[in-house]
Amino acid sequence: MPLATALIIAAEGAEEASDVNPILPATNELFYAAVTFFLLWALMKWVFLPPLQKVMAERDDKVRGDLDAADHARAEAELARARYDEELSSARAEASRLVEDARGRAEAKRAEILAAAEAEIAELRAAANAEIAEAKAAAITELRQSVASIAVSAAEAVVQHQLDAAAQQRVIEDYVNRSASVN
Amino acid sequence: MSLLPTLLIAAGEGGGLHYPSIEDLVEWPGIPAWEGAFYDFNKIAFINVLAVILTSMLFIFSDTKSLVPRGFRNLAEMAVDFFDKGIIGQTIGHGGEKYLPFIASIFFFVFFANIFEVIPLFHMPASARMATPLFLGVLTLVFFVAVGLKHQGPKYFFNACFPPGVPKPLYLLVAPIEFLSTFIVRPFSLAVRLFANLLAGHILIVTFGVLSITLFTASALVLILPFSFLMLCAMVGFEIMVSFLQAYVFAILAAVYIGGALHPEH
Repeated sequence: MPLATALIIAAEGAEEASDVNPILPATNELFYAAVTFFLLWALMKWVFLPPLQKVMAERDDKVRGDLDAADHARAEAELARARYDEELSSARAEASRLVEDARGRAEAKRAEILAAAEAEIAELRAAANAEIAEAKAAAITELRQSVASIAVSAAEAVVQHQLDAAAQQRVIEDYVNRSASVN
Repeated sequence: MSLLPTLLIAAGEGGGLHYPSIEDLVEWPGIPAWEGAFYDFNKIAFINVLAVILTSMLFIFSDTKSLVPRGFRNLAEMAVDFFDKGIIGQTIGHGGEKYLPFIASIFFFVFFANIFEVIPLFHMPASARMATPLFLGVLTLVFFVAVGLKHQGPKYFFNACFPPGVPKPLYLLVAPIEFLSTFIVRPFSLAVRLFANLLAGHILIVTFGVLSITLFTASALVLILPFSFLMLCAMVGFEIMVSFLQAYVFAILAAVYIGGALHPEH
């Protein structure tokens, strides 16, 4: 074990010259602790931390800016949505109003057309009734004349001589009128 | 003395458990030509230099051109965020941002000085020597006193020693206690807490290392070796946690002291 032997010899050599105090600080160690720490402090203060803090601050600003922009965009979207909702409800109200108007107008038109039709029907019905009554009266008159004429003819045939047609006509008409009144 | 030769000495001295002395565990000879000089460069100094280099690498490899962090910058940003919000925001509060470089330096310096306890070929925390903790403790004292003087003027010493709301006769007792507590105990406790924790961890790791290697050579006791080795592994994990925790504790206490000097009303 040449390495181990060498290390043992080296260690023993150091041990012989040992005058180190395990508690008290050594001057050279204090010196290097001070030098190295001040160096690290200076590097930290002027070299290492400023660019890192700068980029961290920039990133924080960017994140904050992005968040603000997102908030702003969300607020705008909310506003646009509120405006849209408002317009939509107004359009709906307008449409509803238009539909109601149209319905009212249609209703009025329907009533008007219906009234006109009913009037026309009533007029036609009245005309038809008048025509029917006229036809009926004509038919009755014609019937009366025919019946009288037939009766007279029949009577003439029975009695074999001419009757006074005018007098017979009156008798017949009187009979028919009485019959009509009875019926 | 390095851990490996120490363990080999322990194993090589003809069986039995030979535990190295505490001096052997913490002695690091420097460059022979500079021996005794204040600039003698030993392993502790090397670890301090490495702490600067490793911290620098974290930031040098952090690309700060794009807004989106990638690679090392994730770690660097996480660390900065942690110092800013987790330490400074919680202790100093408003106006504490300008102390970020100091707090970050404290944390990284202490962490790397600690973590070399578990790094192969090093196995020695620089904080297990009193120089680094003592320097940082005294520097913290100087720093928070300077902050107090800057923001409160000379009245800072009066405010520190005479807290409001105490009955006047009690100041005879309270003022000396507050003085000792603020200007003597604070740096001392910062330094000793870090030093003692790391030295204790170092000793424990060496203990289980020596035990493991001794049991490995003594065949009759080899059955106990797995337990000792398991403890050694557990201690390495524990020391990683301690390295981080002590750095955090040092940084947060420094921030608390600075916050106290900055906002005396708190």
